[in-house]
Amino acid sequence: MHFTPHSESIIEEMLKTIGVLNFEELIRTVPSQVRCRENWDEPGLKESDVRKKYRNLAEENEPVTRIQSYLGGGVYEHFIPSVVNHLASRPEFVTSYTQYQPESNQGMLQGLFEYQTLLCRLTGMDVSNSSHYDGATSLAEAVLMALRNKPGKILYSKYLHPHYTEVLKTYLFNDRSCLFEVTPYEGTMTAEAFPKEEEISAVIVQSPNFLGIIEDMISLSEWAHARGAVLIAVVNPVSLGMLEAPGNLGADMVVGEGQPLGNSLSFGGPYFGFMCVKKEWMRKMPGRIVGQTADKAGRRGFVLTLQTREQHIRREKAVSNICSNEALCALRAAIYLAYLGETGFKNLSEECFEKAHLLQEKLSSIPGLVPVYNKPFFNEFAVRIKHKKIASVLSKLRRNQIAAGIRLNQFYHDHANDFLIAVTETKTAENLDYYYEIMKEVLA
Amino acid sequence: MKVPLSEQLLFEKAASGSGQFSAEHSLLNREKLVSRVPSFFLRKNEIGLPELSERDLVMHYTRLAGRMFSVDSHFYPLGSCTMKYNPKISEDVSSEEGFQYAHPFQNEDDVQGCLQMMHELEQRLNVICGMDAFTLQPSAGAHGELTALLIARKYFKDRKEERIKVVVPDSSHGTNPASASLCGFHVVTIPSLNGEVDMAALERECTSDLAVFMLTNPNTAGLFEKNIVSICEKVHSAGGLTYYDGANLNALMGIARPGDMGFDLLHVNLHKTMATPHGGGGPGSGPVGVKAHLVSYLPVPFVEKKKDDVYKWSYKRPGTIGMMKSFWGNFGVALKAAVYCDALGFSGLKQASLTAVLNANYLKKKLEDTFTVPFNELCMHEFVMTPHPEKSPAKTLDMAKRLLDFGIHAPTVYFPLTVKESMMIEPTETESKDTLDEFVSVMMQIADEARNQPEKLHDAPLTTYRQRLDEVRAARNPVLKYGDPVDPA
Repeated sequence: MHFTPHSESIIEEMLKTIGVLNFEELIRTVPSQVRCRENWDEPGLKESDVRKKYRNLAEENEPVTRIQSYLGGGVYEHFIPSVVNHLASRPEFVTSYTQYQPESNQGMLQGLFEYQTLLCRLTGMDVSNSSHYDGATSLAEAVLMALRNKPGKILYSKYLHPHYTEVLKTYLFNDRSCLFEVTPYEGTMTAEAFPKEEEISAVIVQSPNFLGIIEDMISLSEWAHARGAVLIAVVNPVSLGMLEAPGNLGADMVVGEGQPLGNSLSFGGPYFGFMCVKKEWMRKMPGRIVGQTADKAGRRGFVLTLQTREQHIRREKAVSNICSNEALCALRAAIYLAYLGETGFKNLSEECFEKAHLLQEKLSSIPGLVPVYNKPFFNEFAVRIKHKKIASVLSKLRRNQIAAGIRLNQFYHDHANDFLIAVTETKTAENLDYYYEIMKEVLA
Repeated sequence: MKVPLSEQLLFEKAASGSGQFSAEHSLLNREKLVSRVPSFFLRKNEIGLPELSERDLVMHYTRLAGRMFSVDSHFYPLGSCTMKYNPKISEDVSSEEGFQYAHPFQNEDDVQGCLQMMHELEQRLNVICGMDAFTLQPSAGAHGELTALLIARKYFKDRKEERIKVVVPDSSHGTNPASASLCGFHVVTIPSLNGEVDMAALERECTSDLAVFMLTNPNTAGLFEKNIVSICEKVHSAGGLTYYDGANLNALMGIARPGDMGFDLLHVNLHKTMATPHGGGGPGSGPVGVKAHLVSYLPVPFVEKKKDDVYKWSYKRPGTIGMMKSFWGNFGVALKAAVYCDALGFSGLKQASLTAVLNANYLKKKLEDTFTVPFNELCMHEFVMTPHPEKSPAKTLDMAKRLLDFGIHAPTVYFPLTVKESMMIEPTETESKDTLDEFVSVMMQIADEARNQPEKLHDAPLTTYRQRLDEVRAARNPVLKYGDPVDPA
C-alpha cells in the first residue's frame, strides 16, 4: 500500500517547478556522510495481506471476551455500547488536531468542556483538565504540584496501585526521600501509622485501593489538612456511581484512570488519566483546559485557556512538559457517561458492587479459600488459597476458561498465595455460579 | 433566552429519564447494599449526569462532529505536526477483538500476538532510526523526551559525573526545555545562525557540566542541519549526550538516520510519522530509542523473544529508570503504527519522506514571491514564511483565521520563535498537487485581500460555526465547566 498520490509525470512537473532534476538533487542538503546505506527495498504489503497478518496475530491472543475474565487491577472489562464506539470513532474527531484554532474545532472543544463538567460532577471538584496520559502519570503530576506548593513527605499506602508507585518513583528520580510508604492496618490506611514529626506535603489515598478496599477518606483528609497538607484521592470513576464524591470527603485533588469509562482494554492503552482539583489549584495544574468565551458576534464558544501554564508559551518555566494528551479517550468517556445517564451509571456501579459481593460470598464458603481482609470493598477483592499451590489452582481455572484473577506475589512478597478478583456487570449470575463450582472442584 | 437545541450543551437538554443501562435488578437489593458498606461511604446527592435518549445523544455528537476541521475533511498544513492521512486499515486492525479485549494483566500465553507486535515494531523502529533498542512506554512526544532525559540523568549519575545543563536551540519545540526543566536540568537556550545551530554558541556551551544537547533535525525552520556530524562530535567530546527530537522524522525515513548522525537517544512521534490519528490532541505515542550504551537504562518491562518464537516479559535492565506509565504503553497506537509500517514497507516509508520533501518545496517555490521566505534554500518536509510587507501586508494571525474561511486549516503560527510573524507550513506527502495548487491560489487571494480589503482579514473567519473567539476573555474570567459564573461581556 502507499498513500502518496502523485503520478510519475506530476512528480516530474513538480521537480521542474522547484528547479531540481530529481529526488537526489532535492535532498542535496543532507550531507552524503549521513545518508542511509541500508537496503530500503522492502516493498509494502497488499491491504488484504496486512489484514491477514494482523488477524493472525490477533488470533494468537485469547481476549477476555472469549473466556470469563476476572482481571482488574486498575483497568476493567465493561460493556461498551455501540453508540459510544460509533460516535467516538467519527473521523471528524479522530483525525483532528489540538484546538489551537478554536473556530475550526468547536465540536471537540465543546465535547471536552462537557467532559470537564462531567468529571467535576462525578468527583465533586471545581476544575478538571481535559485529560492526562493515564492514571499513574496524572497522580505523579498531582504530587509534583503538591510538592511545588509545599515541600514535605508524600504519604501513600503499600496498597496504592503498584504501577502508580513505580511511576511516582520514576518521576521523583531526584529525591525519593520524600516518599513515605505507609504500612496499612488490616488493608487500609490509618493515621496511626503516619510519621509524627515530619512536614507533610500530601497524603495519597487510593479508594478503592489496589486490593479493592474502600478507604476512609474523611479521616485521612482531616489528618492531612490539620498539618497543612493536601489530600490526593485516586479513584475508580465507576465506583463514584455509588460511593461518595471525593470532593465531599475533603480531597484537594482527584486523579485516576479513566479507562473504565467506555474505553476498551487494548492491552494497556490508550486510556486517559483524569485530574480534577479545587479552585485554588486551577492555575497550577498541568494539561490543557477548555474554557467558555464568546465570539465577535457575542455567541457562546470554547477555547483552550490558561495557556500561560503550558510549555508552548512558557518553555522551561511551564508547570509541566505535557503537550499531547488523550483527548479522544476523554471524549469517549463523556459520550459513555452521557449515554448511561444518572440512572444508568448508578445502576452500573451498583451492579458491579453487587456481583462482586455475590462472588465473594460464594467463594468464601469454599474451604481452603479465605478473603485476605474483611473490609468494605467495591468491585474487587483479594482472596487467599490455603493448603494448595496457587499457581496450579489458577491454571486449572484457566483450563476451564476462567481467568480467575491477578496474582499478588508479583507485587508483594507477603501475598504469595493471594490473588485479586474483579467483577463487572459483564458477568452473569451463571458465570458467577460457574466460577464457584469450578473453584470448589479444584480446591476439593 | 432559551438556547436553540442545536447549540445546547448536554446539561441543557431536558432530562428525559431515559438512562440506558438497566442492571439485572434481580441481583440488586438496596438494603443489603447498605449493610455491606457503612453509609458514610455512600453518595448522598445526585451526580448530575444528563439523561438523553440514544437518538438525541447521536444528534448531539454528530452536530459537534460537523463543527470540526479534520484531516479526513480538510487540508491541514500544520507545521511540525505532520497531519498526514491516517489509513483506514489501521482503524480496522486495531478494533480486532483479539487486540481490543486483551487485558494488560493477562498471562503471557494469552497475549502472544500483542507481545509479538510490540517486539516487531521495536525492531522496525531500530532500523528506521539506526538505534539499538526501543521502549514503547512513553505516551507522547513530550513523555518520550522526559523518558530520555531521565535516562541521561541516571547514566551520568552512574558515571559519577555532575552534569546539570541541557542545551537547546532557540528554534526548539517548547516541550524540549519544559521536559529538561521537569527533569531537574538547568536549561540553556542558544541562538540560531541562518536558521541552523550557531556552532560558536554551541561550542561555548560544550563544557564539563553539559549533559544533553537536544535537537530536531530537520529543524523547525525545515532545514537539515548541515553540520550535524560535527554538532554531535562536539557534544560527545565534551562528554555530553545528543538527543534527537523525532517530531520532524517524517522528512528522513530512508534518507538519513539519527543514529548514523551521532544521536544517542531519541523519540519518535508515532502519531506524526507513522500516520496514527491525532484524536483532537491525543492519544499519541512517543517510543524512545537508544544506542547500546544506554539500553540497560530503558524502562521495564520489555518484550523478549525466546526460542520457538515465544514472547515473554523481561525486567532484565539493571540500570532501568523504572516505569513511565502504568502498563506497557499506548498499545493501540503502536499497533496502528506497525500496520502502517507493514503496509508501506521500507520502500514506501522512503517514498513517503521523499514526497513530503517534494510537496513542501513545491509550495515554498510557489509562495516565495508573494511571501517572505527567510531561509532561501531547499527545505525538507516543512518551511517557514512570513507576510511580505508590500505583497501580503497583514498579521499572520489574521491570515491564519482567513484561511479557515476557505476550508483550509491554518499553518502553525508564531512558531518557531526565531522568526517574527512566522507561519510554518508542512503539507505532508499524502496531499495531491491539486490540493497544493488550491492552497497556493487561496494564499494568493488572501495576499490580495491584505493589500486591498484588509478588513476582510481582521474580521475572519466569517464562515465557520463561530467567528473569532475572545481568548483573552476566556483567560480573564475562567469558565471551565457548565454552571461556572459567566461575567457579562
